[in-house]
Amino acid sequence: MIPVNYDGFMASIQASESIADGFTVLHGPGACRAMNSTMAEHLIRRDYVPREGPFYYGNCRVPCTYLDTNDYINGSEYKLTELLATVGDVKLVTVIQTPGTSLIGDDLTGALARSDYKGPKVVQRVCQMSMPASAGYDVTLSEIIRAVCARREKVKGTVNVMGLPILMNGWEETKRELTGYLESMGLRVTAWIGAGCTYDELLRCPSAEFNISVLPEFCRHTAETLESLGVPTLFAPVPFGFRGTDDWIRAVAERAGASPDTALECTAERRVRSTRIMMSFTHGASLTRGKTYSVSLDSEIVLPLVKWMHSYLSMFPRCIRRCGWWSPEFTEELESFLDSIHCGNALSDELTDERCDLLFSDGMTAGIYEKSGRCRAGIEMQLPYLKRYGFVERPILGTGGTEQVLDAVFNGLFTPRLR
Amino acid sequence: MFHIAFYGKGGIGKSTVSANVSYQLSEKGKRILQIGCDPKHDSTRLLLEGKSQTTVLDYLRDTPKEHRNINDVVMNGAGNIQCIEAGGPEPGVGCAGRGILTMFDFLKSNGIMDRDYDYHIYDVLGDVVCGGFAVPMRKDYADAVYIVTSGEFMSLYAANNILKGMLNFDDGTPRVGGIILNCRGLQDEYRYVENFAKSVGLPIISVIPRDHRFRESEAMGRTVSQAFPGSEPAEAMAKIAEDILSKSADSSKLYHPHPLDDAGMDLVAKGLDVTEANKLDYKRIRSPTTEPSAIHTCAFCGALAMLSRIEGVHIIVHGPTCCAYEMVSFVDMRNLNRSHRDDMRSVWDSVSCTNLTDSNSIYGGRKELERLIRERAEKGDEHIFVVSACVAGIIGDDIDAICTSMSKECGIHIVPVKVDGIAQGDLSAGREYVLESILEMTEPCSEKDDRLINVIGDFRALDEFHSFMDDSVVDLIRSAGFEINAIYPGWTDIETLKRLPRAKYSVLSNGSKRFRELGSRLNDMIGSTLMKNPLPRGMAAIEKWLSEVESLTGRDLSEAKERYASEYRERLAPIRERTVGKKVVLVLSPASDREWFTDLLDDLGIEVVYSMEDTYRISLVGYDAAQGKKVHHRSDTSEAVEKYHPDAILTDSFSDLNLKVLGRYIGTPNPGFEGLMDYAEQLGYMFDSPLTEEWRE
Repeated sequence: MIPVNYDGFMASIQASESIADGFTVLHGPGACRAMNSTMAEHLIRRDYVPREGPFYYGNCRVPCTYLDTNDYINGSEYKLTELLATVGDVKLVTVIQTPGTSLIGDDLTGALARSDYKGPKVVQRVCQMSMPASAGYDVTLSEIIRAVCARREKVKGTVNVMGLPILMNGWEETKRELTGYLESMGLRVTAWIGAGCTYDELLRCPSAEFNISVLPEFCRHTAETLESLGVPTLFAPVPFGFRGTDDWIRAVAERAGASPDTALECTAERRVRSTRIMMSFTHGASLTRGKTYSVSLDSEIVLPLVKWMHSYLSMFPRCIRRCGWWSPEFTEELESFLDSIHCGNALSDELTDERCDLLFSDGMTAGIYEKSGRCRAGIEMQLPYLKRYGFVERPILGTGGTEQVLDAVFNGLFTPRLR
Repeated sequence: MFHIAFYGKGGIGKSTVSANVSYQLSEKGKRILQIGCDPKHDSTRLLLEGKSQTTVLDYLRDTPKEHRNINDVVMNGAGNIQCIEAGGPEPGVGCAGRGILTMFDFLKSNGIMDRDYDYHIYDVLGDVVCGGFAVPMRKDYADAVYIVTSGEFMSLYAANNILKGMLNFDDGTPRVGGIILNCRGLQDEYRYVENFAKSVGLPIISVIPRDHRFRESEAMGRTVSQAFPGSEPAEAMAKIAEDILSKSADSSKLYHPHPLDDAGMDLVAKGLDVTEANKLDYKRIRSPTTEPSAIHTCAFCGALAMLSRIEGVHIIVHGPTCCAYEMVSFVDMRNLNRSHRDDMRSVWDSVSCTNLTDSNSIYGGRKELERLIRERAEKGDEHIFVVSACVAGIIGDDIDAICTSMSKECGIHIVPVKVDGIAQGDLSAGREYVLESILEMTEPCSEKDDRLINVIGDFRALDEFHSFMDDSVVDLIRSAGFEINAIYPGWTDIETLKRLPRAKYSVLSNGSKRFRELGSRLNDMIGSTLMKNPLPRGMAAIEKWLSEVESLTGRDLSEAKERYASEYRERLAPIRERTVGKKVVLVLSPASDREWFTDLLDDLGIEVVYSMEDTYRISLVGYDAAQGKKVHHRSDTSEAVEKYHPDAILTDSFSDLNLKVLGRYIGTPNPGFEGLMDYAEQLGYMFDSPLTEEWRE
């Protein structure tokens, strides 16, 4: 298994990249750029525009100041000034510092002021290294909003949705699905904060009536910032599983004073379709009963997943890797649930090698466990993903996500594998 | 609100001056916030009746985020002065400059900088040793900087450094208040300082005498201004306060920094006049930002790549999570994508990380490293390599000493790999750095076995370790009468490493210049005979390689040669039907071994109408351009297409050229026979491809 996690520094870069027409600049050594710019290409797609010269080297995503030891010793903000002179006509520049660079105390504000680029720009002052990815993602967006947004007059019937990070597989599909539900309740989304909104949409986000969370851990700071701009946040249940998605819809409808019926009809239709598939083969209703799974995920999505696996499929956890980044409250709730199904000993500091039927994890661990026969099917639910080319969307949240997980579970367990 | 920073050499009396000036200003009815920016945190002591206060950095370290309250670190002192101390790490560990940055972020984000004060007074540690300590002199913090000095040369030297620091932040706004002479009672002290002040174009604002009343007031836990109002030292402090009041009312009275060069400071030391030529302009030691100068990888990654494939070795990354994650995932994902083995192991199985945080960057990461080493020792690891990332290097963790002491404590083999991220250079520097430590594990062998050969794996491409040894390579090596003794670098274990010196021969898996240099070094260490030709790519190379084996060993390999030659002709014939008569432009990186490729093109009847070097491949741009070669750009390729009208462009550039001509990424085939045939087949298919795929339209 992967003993360390995708952390807040890397998530900061993707949070900035999540602004569709934003421009992320990395201030630090080139080695820190490689994986993050590649990751950005996979997570949020933009047309490939070849850019040559220093800072880019043929790749337009996440240009970098390419610092060396000399820069660490003597300071390097002039490189940032020079880089900014090359960015051209972009809507927003966000500067992220690498862990090492954040220690040398470059005067980045001064560097930005001295640059030829006069558009809006934000500097992330504190590197979110070794912090949870959710915190890094959240803090970055919160800082950007604080820097560029101001209070606005409210527009009735509008909302922001936040806490759906582009780090999440199939985020675009989830966004489409949830947008559909919101529209059916007469709500218009001003900005999908952190999920591909444009700079202009971000500027308008303080005009929304309220914010709706998807994964709360990814938007707590952002919620506070928007609260200070007069936009309260509805922390809705995580829309995972059919029931979880319904609960999310109901919570939003209640807050908006709208009817959830149309949205619930849509989810019911999809739920029925899944049920029919399971009921249509001889042992469909009981195939998963008593099967086992393990989980190695950093996100607090673990709890709705574990509950759903129990309530929907009667499957039981063999091992759930405890993540040091979970809040004590979250861990307590998870422990309590596991105790209630007599699986209290499933929580472990490390993912065990004990065989299980399914493994929910990052793509790499899932791949390795599946290849080595330690699980029958590995289901990738967090970075790094093995299936990086997203021709087929593989959402995790919403009813679409539920169908994907069901598909992975049933085909993983009950179809022949070719190795 | 007006912000004032007092700078000066350590121990020169900045804290005494700051506290007195704050008190004097408060006596004039001004609301003051004094912030001590020195790890020894004694700036505000005289304002707090000798008591010390909770420092911001201790508070941030010990208090969970949700329980923090800015008022916990603000104390009310004499004259209603609000007092804050940054604090910092113990001497010799961590990074105090980072601590200052963290403190300012905390103060800013908690609104303290926006409170209603008339003056912010910053008392800053000694010399401007790093960017962290320079924060208060930046324009967004300090409106005026006063320099406290004595007549000692080192004190004046520090004053000059402070002016250099200010010059770096100079944006045309005058921000230097002047010089404060805190006398040490030296002979001609005033004259020395006056000469320096005149040389740098600054006034001496006040002369503070040596006076017993300072000691007495300190014993009372008070400032001299408070304890002995109207005394000579108190009056000297009052003059500074007056100057501040005057300059804060009219900032045009402030000065620009004009530091001296080393020769100028030499003249000051001798008490001589300084010339205009000794005054520095804005000039910083700058690394060039040209393409060839950039480092695209880091030594940390190189070291990790070399170590991570040795089963039985555990690697501890001493750095933040992201460094471990980025480097290892990158390698691992590629391996997993290419692997056909069910038993493949992840590099992660042998890596752990100290997960350094922002807090460690202030206080150091020794404890985290020691804890992790103990943990790994308890789990049974016997060989641990500790590889340091940039952060560990910048904060100055002494991993050599830590590894030595922990090795004694745990009784295991612990090797420090102090590459400090990019401090030792790029990927290849990291590989070289670690090579010697790895080969120390081998067992010397005086009797070499001439049937055994070591394959020196590919250092260059991280993802080739696993894939280059296909069955046809093994078949080729056996056809030459060898058995493989060990493959390194490559997936291996400590036992295999130990027996590396047993083989009489070694062969490189790749013939590039850089690889050959490193491979030769490795071979020298194990004392075998290194074959001149690497594992062959291309038919001519296979023949050449077998011939070299014949001459080295005296074996007759003519049968093997004939077998390969005949199979080559037979399998190439149908491919040739597609390729014969075609014209191509080659855009190849200079370091690539192109002989196999041009031979193959010849055998396929393909004419090379133009060939250019692609120095734009990012991993090579620095290396080749540094040797005076022209850096290739996309536009150069377009020009070649217009001029030569080729059927295809063959390139090893990473970019999709998207030109209106067939383009193919060349890459490098696996050595041996099958790698070549696979490659030839793909090349053949390319000429039957549509010029523009449907999706591009």
